[in-house]
Amino acid sequence: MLGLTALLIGLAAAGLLVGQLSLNPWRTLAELLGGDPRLAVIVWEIRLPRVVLGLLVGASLGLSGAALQGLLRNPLAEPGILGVSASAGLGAVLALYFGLAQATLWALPGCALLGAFAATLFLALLAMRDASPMSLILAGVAVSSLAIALTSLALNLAPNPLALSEMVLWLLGSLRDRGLSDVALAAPFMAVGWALLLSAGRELDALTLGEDAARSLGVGLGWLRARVIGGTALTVGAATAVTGSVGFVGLIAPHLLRPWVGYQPSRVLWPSALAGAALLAAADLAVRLIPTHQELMLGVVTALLGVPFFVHLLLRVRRTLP
Amino acid sequence: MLLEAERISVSLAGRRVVNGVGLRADAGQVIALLGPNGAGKTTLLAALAGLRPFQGAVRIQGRALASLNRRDKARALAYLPQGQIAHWPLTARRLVELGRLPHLAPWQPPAAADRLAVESAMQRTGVADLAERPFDTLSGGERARVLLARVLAVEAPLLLADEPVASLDPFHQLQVMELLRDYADAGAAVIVVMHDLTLAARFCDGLLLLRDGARVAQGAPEQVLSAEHLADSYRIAALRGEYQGQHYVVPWQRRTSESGPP
Repeated sequence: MLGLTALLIGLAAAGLLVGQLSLNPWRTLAELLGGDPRLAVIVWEIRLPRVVLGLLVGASLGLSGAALQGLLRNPLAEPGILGVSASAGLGAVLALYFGLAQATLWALPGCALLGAFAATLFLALLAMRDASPMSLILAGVAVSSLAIALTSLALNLAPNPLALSEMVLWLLGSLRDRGLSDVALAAPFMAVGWALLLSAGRELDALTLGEDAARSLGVGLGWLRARVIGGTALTVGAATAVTGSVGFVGLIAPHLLRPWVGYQPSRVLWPSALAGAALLAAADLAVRLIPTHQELMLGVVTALLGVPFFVHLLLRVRRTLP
Repeated sequence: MLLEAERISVSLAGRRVVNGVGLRADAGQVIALLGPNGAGKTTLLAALAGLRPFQGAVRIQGRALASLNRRDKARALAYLPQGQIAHWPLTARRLVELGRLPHLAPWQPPAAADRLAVESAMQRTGVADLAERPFDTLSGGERARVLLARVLAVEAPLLLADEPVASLDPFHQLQVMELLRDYADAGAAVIVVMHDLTLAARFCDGLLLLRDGARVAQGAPEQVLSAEHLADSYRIAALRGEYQGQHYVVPWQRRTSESGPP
């Protein structure tokens, strides 16, 4: 936990001090302290919102991944793979497409939350019917494909190139050009979602023994599911509303940390939030530093990192499950 | 009377699986639920634990099961499901600690009493040495004892165990039955689903023999395990006898409708 926190602080500082202007954080720091006004604007008004948002979104994705995995008792469950992120992205794109987003500030995050909620609810209903881990993942892939297809349809029918470029963001995810207003928009939803997810720790532990044993220990399954589904929808929906769909963070973070905390679902929650934040901060740093003609999309980088993890986990789960 | 269940009926997916069965257990008693596969033993046990909707009445220590809130119910009865389930490879100690959940105050760490209950349960089941071992590195017998320690750690007056000796070697079967016996002797009531007729005859005070969800026989072991009842419910003939004053029953032969009396 301490190491993770230190890593997080280091990455956040790097996110503030390193960028296209200069690769030397010490020089940037010195000039900043020296009172360079141009640099101050870049650091505080461009980089700070980006870093803060990256940490919040990363923590949300890591935490919701860990909680979903606990609820579904499936290490492959993750908002990206299960189609929750893509559905939230679809909600956001639809809000843009139908012009709701121009009408009111809350329409876009609201629609993203709705999309996330619908996808999570669908998957939870499926899991309640004793779906095996594999069929759940396949259902998630179906949800994800459908959401992406509908998003693409909206892109095809987009009224103008400007709307198109705005919508593409929700397919791939990016932290570019985000402001503190985006942070303010997403943070309240995320905070409520985090509280819901973090409150589920002990009950997720009890679920280790199966649903009947957990109920016999006083766990109210309906209430537990409602909190994890609601918490996931709130955190992932809010995250997607401001950054677009960023996949695999919720898969990688808990997976890396689980052995360190003895696989106990409640103990995976907090560290997964920290690791998710660190992961996204690192990925965003990479996006900014890799010299490409156009800045890479964040979702592309997390997918490049995440897919090998997913394949590795898939092979392991297949070996241990029927 | 610690447990009183009257006219329990359970329907699953429109089919009546348990049909008007009654059961009583006093403190200090071990009662076995017997019967062939599909007789409704597991469903009846789950209904007694409040895990399946049922018709009829269940009272624990005089209070109706339906009137208890989740937490009180969780403290009144401990339930060990069939099959050694642990979805994550927690260490043995952390699994046993889960049994203390009904006693924990929200957001508070386990108290001294909780730690004591966990230690005691692990001592009794002989898994104290395995405390730090992940569940997936344990043998079948070790897993069964760790999960038994988990239900003992609840320290509930009523223990419901579904096939706790299934898939165990003879040594561990005897050990688990002795543990259940000791738990009852210390003042609890134990209801156990099992298939081993000799262990049921030796370690239990009363048996309930089921077939197709209905009662075939109920009462003291030697009465319930008569040749007629075994033929009726299990469709077997058994070798029966007595050793050191205790009954044993060894299933010997299938009985088909054509075969005569053994």
